[in-house]
Amino acid sequence: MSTIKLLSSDNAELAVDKEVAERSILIKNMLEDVGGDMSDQAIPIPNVNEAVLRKVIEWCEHHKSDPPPPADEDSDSRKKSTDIEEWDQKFMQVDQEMLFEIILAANYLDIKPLLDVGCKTVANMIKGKSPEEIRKTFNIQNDFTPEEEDQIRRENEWAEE
Amino acid sequence: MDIFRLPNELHEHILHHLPWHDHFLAASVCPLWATILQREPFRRKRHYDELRDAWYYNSYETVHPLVFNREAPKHVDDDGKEPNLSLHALLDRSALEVRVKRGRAPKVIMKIPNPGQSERRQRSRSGSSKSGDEHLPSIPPDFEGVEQEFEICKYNISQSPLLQSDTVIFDITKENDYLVFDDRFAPPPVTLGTYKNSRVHLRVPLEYPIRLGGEKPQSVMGLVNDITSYMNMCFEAKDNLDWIRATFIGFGKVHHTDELHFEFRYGSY
Repeated sequence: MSTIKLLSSDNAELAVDKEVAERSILIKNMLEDVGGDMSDQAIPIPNVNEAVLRKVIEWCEHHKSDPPPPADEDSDSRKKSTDIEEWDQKFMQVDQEMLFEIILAANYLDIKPLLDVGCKTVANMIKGKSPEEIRKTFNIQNDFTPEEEDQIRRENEWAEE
Repeated sequence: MDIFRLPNELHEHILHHLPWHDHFLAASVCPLWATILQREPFRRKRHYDELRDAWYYNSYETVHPLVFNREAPKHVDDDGKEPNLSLHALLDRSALEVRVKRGRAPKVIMKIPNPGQSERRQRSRSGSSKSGDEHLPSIPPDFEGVEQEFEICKYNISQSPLLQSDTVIFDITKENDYLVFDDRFAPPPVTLGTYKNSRVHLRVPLEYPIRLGGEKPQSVMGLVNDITSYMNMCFEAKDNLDWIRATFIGFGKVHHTDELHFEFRYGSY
């Protein structure tokens, strides 16, 4: 099995199985473009630092034999629930900073299933909370003008009890 | 790093995973989320998503008590006018009409859409090319050959009083045991016929139609309830020997498409 090297934004070189790295569509396409021969040269991943890249690789290792995600953008299984498998739940038990970094990295590297897991994790942190609790969780300021708040209330009131 | 370092598209992605009742709460968290959640796809999802999974193809009777916390609004007779359900199928091409007035026999008129204008979807017909379609007669005088012509006709019914300012689409497919009927094809006496799989796609308008009670229900099932009752109210006809009943039978399968399936039964008193 061939190994490739990835170069993180902070110049750490990480060796990865090609198959594992190819969970990232970005890397997969890159390798295809150069004819698959990157054995002597590290692929620069300028947007992702070492810690995050290691995390992402860990996820890819675990999921390397998963079937490829359905091509359909709107595929049902992807969006409808916030169910997360157990391993992924544990994997995502990180601080918020890391969680957002993973989401950004998954987006940049084009690893859809990981992006989904990340977004679902955040969605789960939102679910069932009051707006004030949500703001507290994510340290969000209440930036609404009173008019805006009023409008939102009117927009939504028919759905609230 | 805080959550606002994520680009907007990722906020959207995250909010997509929320069940609909959390949308309202999330919308009051910050302006960005409010903006995202007021967009059309989210509005639709709100009325659709989770409910669809849980109640896909359950009968209305089973579904209703499970879901809703509030009775459907009372029906308001629009300014005392006769209820008049006029599903102008093909407003632009007059291919399907359902006209029901109190005191009169319900009348459903179907015509072969003019192929040049219709959005006709052709199914499993690809082999035998039907380039001759353009020359089909628009309506055979005696309805002969009708079944053959009715593959799937997709009717876009706008300005329906059913849902003012809404889009309602009826799909009628050949494989289902619908009957084409107009006055001459009135429901056969005594037997019970079924129009299965008549689909109504709808978008919930911001201004809830007064005919449906003028008061928005809390959820899509409330809406379905309203529509079903409204249709049935329109179908009622005092001196009519035939009856039509619409029954909600389930949600569609297409993600993010508001789609409801109704079954229309008819029979004679």
